Amino acid sequence: MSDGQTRISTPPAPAVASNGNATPAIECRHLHRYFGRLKAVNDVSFRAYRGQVIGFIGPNGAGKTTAMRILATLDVPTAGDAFINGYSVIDDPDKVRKIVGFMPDSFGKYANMNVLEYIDYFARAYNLSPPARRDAVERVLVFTELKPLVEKPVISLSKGLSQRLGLARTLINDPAVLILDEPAAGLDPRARIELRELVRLLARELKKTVLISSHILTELGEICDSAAIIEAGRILASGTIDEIQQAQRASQGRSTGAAVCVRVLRDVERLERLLLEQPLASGVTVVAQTATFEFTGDEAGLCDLLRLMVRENLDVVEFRGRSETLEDAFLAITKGVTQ
Amino acid sequence: MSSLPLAIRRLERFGDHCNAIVVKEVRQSLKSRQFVGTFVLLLLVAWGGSIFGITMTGDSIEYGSSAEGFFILFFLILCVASLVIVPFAAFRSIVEERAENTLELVQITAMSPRQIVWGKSLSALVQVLVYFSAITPFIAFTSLLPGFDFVRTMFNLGILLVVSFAFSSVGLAIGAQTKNRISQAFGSLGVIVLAFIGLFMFASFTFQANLSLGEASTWWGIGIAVFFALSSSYLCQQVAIAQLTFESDNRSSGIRLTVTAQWLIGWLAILGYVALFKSSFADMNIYVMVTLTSIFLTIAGLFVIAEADGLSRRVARGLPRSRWMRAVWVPFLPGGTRGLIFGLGSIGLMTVLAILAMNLETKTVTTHLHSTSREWSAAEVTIAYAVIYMGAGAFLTRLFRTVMTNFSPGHLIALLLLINLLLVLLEFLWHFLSNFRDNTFQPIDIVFPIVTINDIMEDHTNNSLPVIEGAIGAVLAIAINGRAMVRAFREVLRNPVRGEIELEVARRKEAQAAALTGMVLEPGAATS
Repeated sequence: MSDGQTRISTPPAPAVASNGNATPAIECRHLHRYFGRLKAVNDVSFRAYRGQVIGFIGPNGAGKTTAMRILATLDVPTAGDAFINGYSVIDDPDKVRKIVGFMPDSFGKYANMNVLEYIDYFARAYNLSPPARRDAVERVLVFTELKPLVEKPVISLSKGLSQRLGLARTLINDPAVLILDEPAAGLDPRARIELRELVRLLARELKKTVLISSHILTELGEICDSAAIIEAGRILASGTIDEIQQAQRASQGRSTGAAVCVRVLRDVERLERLLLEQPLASGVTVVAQTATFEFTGDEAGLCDLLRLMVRENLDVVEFRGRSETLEDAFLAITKGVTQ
Repeated sequence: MSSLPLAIRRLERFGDHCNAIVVKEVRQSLKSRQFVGTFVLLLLVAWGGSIFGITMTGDSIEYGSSAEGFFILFFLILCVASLVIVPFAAFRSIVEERAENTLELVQITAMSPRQIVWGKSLSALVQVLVYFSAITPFIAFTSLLPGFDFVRTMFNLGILLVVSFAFSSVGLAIGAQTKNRISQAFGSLGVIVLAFIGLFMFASFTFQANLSLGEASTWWGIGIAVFFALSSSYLCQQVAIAQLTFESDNRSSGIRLTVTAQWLIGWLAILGYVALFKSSFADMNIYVMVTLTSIFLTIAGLFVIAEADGLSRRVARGLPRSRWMRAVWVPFLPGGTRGLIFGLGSIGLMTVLAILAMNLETKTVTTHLHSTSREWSAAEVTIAYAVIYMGAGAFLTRLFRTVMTNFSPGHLIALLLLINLLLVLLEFLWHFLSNFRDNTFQPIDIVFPIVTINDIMEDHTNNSLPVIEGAIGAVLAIAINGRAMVRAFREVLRNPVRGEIELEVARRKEAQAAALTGMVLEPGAATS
């Protein structure tokens, strides 16, 4: 690649998605956003459909928040366009706002206001009729489990409860598309798990499209159907998590087989020699008493290999497939470039 | 059922139909220490003042016109709350929303910028009414004293309400402009200084003007003043709305239409006043009106001239179908060069009205388009300066926008002032080198507007030289923008009508979708 980045080839987009939805819920078309000479977002294109959860991954300053702000109609692209359910964020921001819920990474809270008043205010701001407003407030308070805290001043809420409050505000107009910028930042493990469950519920049960950015990649890997990795304003890879990992391995000239770890009590050198002789094993690395390699054969072949090790009197104490995480792919794809 | 819960329920039902921001801010205010503190302080000062006043007046409180003194005290207390505290609170409310990132959360709701700004304005008005209610018992006490004038009291309170609304709008407009800590600090200072200047001017005018409310001409004058206050607050609201409006939307037409309505109605009202109540219109009055309007139009003009040229698809979509209507609409549409057309058109219309005013004075049947009086010459030169500044501004905007996308009205005004300052320095240098001691007008003096106008008014020139120089400058300023103005006109006239735009957008979408080589985030699709 001319820019020195690991880029994975991009096939043309189909006119109609395989899931039958003609209009993508989120679509970025050659999105650019420049601040002076800084190319915060540089030719970003992707699509997402109804009910999908998409992880937006990138180091600090990669352009995630800028792209998300454009999708939320808080900023205007320098070039290109973005569409939410077919509505342009430039031409129809008012229509986009009715179907998008945006939760920024840090949002202010009003003084002298309790949880109920806060949610009620935003329900009024969406011009909901009084009965619809009361229903919407009740619905989001129940969904985010904030109902017992309605009288609590919003400024006294903990970080986790604040994030729930933010999510409740984001959901008040029942948006089809949710854009969540670092919603898990600063949350304790329990709050993170709760948030993860809420996001899953939103996508699977309520069929919302969720674009979510986070630094906690293990979690994104668990809740996202697909991901887009962005660095220095450019999308470096995107697709389902498996596709990103496989494409990444392929781009590095590695086999697309499974990674396997074998730990022995002694004679690790003999194990290494044995593995190097195997035609289906490649990329053997040894650390301490553990050898890791790529295996391109099927599961029967893997059984044969284990049997061979036992026959060779190797004291195998652990033999397991090592699945690559989103974190591995992220580290392999990104170069830590900042602008 | 007791009456209190019923009243609360009725209040809630009323609140259901109110602007969301008004409801929110009233709720917040009732819990806010600042608001409660001000309210209590207001009561304490008024109460303390009453006790002190009664003690000092003694038995004489029963005679003379003691009500006047007490009213002045209570009115001044109310003025401080309404003209200083409330406008500053309005300024702070928008600044804090921006600083706390809550403004963005509201901007992406279904609320329009107009609803947001009106919500803030009405909240300020509600606060003023609450402060009024705090002072009401004291006014009622004053009404029991001798010398109480009910009509004048109501008149003063009504005017205070209008002026307070205008001040709050100024606070909101300044607040909407401030986007970083430095501008917030300057904005705070500016609002406080303006509020105190306004307070002193308003208070001194109220108690010293001694208006005779029985005369029709007084009410005509009051009407003009109230119109000026309300239209200025509307203009300030338009400025605030523009700041909150999405970038691809129309931020400019509201301001342009308000500016036009404000100066035009103001002129017509003054001309009507002269026609009805005066026998003539002095040249000096015309000169003052022309000067004030030219300054106003030049400043407003430079603000719209600094805009980027070009119509967004969103604005183009809303253009009228008729080409004639579009031609009329051109000066009011966004775009720097169309801002120049707007400025020049306004100046032209003002000149016509000034000629009309001059003929009102002469009361002659034959109309004449020119006068040899120095005031009229000064007015002509002032008009020429307005054209020159706006023309130069439009030219510089086009020049700088090619290298500086975030070129703002602030940049343009600073640039023009700098260029003018350099020209004035050049003028001084020329005088210094030529060892010129005579104070008659020299051709190079035209670069210094104050000197030029002063020389005309002091008869240091035969008037024709600065007028000719000004006219040449104005013609040049228009000439350097001629092609750009034609382009700006054509862009609007040639723009496809609404249906065609929709079709074009749909066609473009299809073409883009077909040509798109972007990623598809879809399980199962070969994507990355």
